[in-house]
Amino acid sequence: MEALSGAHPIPLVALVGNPNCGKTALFNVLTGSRQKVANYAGVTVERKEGSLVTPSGSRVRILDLPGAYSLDPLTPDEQVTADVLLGRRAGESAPDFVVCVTDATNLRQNLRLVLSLKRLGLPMVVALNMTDIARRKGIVIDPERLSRELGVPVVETVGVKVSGAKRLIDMLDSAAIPPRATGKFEWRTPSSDDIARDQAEVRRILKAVGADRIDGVTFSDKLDAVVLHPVVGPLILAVVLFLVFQAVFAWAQVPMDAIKAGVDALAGWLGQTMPESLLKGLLVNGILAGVGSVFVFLPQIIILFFFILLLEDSGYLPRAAFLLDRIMGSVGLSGRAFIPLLSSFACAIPGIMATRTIQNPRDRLATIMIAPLMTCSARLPVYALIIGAFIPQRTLWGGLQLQGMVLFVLYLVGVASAMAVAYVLKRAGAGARFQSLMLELPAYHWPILRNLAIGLWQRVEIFLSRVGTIILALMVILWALSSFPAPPPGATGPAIQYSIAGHLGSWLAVIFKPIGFNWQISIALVPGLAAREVAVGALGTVYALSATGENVSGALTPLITHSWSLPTALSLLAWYVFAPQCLSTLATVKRETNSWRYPIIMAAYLFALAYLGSFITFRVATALTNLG
Amino acid sequence: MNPVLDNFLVVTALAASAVYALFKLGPSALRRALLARVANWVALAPGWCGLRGVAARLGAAAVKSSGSCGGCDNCGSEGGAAQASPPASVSASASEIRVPLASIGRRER
Repeated sequence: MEALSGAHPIPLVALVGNPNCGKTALFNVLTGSRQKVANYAGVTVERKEGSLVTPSGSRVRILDLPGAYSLDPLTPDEQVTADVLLGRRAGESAPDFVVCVTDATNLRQNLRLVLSLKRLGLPMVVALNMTDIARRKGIVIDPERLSRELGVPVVETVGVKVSGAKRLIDMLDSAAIPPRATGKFEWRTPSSDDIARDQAEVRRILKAVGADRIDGVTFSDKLDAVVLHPVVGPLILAVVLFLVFQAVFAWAQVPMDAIKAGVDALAGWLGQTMPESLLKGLLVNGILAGVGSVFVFLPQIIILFFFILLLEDSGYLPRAAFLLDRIMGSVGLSGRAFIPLLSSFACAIPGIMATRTIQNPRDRLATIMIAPLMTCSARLPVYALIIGAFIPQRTLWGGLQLQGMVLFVLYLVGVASAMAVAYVLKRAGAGARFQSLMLELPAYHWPILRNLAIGLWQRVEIFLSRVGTIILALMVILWALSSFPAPPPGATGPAIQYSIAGHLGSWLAVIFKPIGFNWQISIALVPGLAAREVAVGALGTVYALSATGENVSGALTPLITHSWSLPTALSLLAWYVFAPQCLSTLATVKRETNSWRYPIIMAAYLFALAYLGSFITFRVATALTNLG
Repeated sequence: MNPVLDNFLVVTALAASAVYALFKLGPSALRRALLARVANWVALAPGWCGLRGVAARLGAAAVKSSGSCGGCDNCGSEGGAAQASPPASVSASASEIRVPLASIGRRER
């Protein structure tokens, strides 16, 4: 490729642009990757690299950078973009070519970054993205005219369509792009005069290309009048979230029963056809009882993420951040913390990484410290197991399910605890002072089916790969620890009581007895440190081995219903609301804060909270049960 | 089924699970060292085995694993990841972002 021969053996092309202008969607189209896209700013917080083979057979490296409003960074994610473009990143020279992605529906804002990049001197093309939406809104921009006014090539793109980047690929493949000059790229912070000049230039260009029309009241504005209403807005938010949790239980029952029946049938078949042996024990009591207990929750996870992705893609989530800004401000967090905290409902790790979009370091630290309190998807199997076992499948007024309501309350308790901890951090001086929120609200649009399908498939893939890898491995180890050494001759109790895990459980039970946990729960908490849902599989294995006689691989729910008291079940729920049982989260906190101090503080405070919460729950529930 | 084969399968499954769990949940330094060691062993294989490519991929994985957070793969940030193929000149740390809290400041005017 003549045009893109630069500093790198394979030319490096960087996608740059304002947040939420469709860079990652375009990156996915160019490279065939499946990076997360959503309709709000700040989804990408680190550089992602892929490769593109052009029609002429040349290979180009494509770099997706976090969104930035300027080359003068305010937040860590903007810093990444500025460092890459200015060649300041260790071991990495500046890209050979820049594709400045712009949102055709919001050119007024996007052109300022284009002008900054132009001043930087890197060879550049402007990708006029979202032109399909712009046309629907009546915004027609002539790319050739815009190109003449800007002095750089301009191509139209539609990042959400596979064929939407054809012109861009042709341009990258053509010889029309000049090679970049060698040497360092200098950047100086613009003065107020520079900014005023840029704004005047943007106005001139918009007028020249006929895009200076300012829209009146749009559909999004009309919808926002209701959705962002100070009274109606929070009500809508509460109802939406409530219905999501109702659906998690109401819709998942049939597929869950089908999976459970499949696991039971397989276990029954193995039990009948295989002779008594170690291998049979491993397959039935170790793998099927353990892995099967976790696998059964797949439908609930799919339903939960279906709704989260739907809300993400529609553009509703930034509105929720806006609605919650006042509440979050009162506990020392800014509305910007909402998106990282919301990401933590999937998993605390991307949530903690998403805190890079938070400008204030103290605010960022406070958000990192409370992120594990948001109910991650790994807790869902634990909650669903206990709720299914102890909360009756009763329908209340208006067809609402009691189980769904309890799940909703558990999520609320997680959020309330996070707010309480943030308030304590604020009082202790670690939280930030209130800062006003400036957040770009994207236009609403219908969720794109492709994005939904990819997002859901990724969640299914992640869940299944965890079940098939680390959970399976831990279940095999737990089975061995629970089966050896064999019970002594004349032993009367179940074999597991005499095993290594049985002894370990007995010791741990001393610590956990005050909060109502028996030795089986105590054992399950240990592998649960790897990931929370492993505890469900561990309970399956431990109870399968604790039972005497028939195979019990598929019957964990009735088993725990009979062996636990209600206070014990509630105490375990309280434990999982707080406990930081995920080593990967702590490792991520260490990486993001560059210090061991914060993960240690986090683990200590979360364990203390978990123990205290479980102790109070167990004691109060026991007292109430006795009264009743 | 043959009891010897039975026991052999159980021991193999247990050993594989233990190594995998240690690999996934152990510290990233251990993961890196393990991958590098295996890459070296594979590279020592005679040329006719055709394992050079495998050794190179293992070596690259050893470099890449330095950015791992503990290996839960739950965050989705690595899911369906793009082909992360840093050039040979890129150092291991370049693929990872380390932004100390203290260095994040306001814009200076």
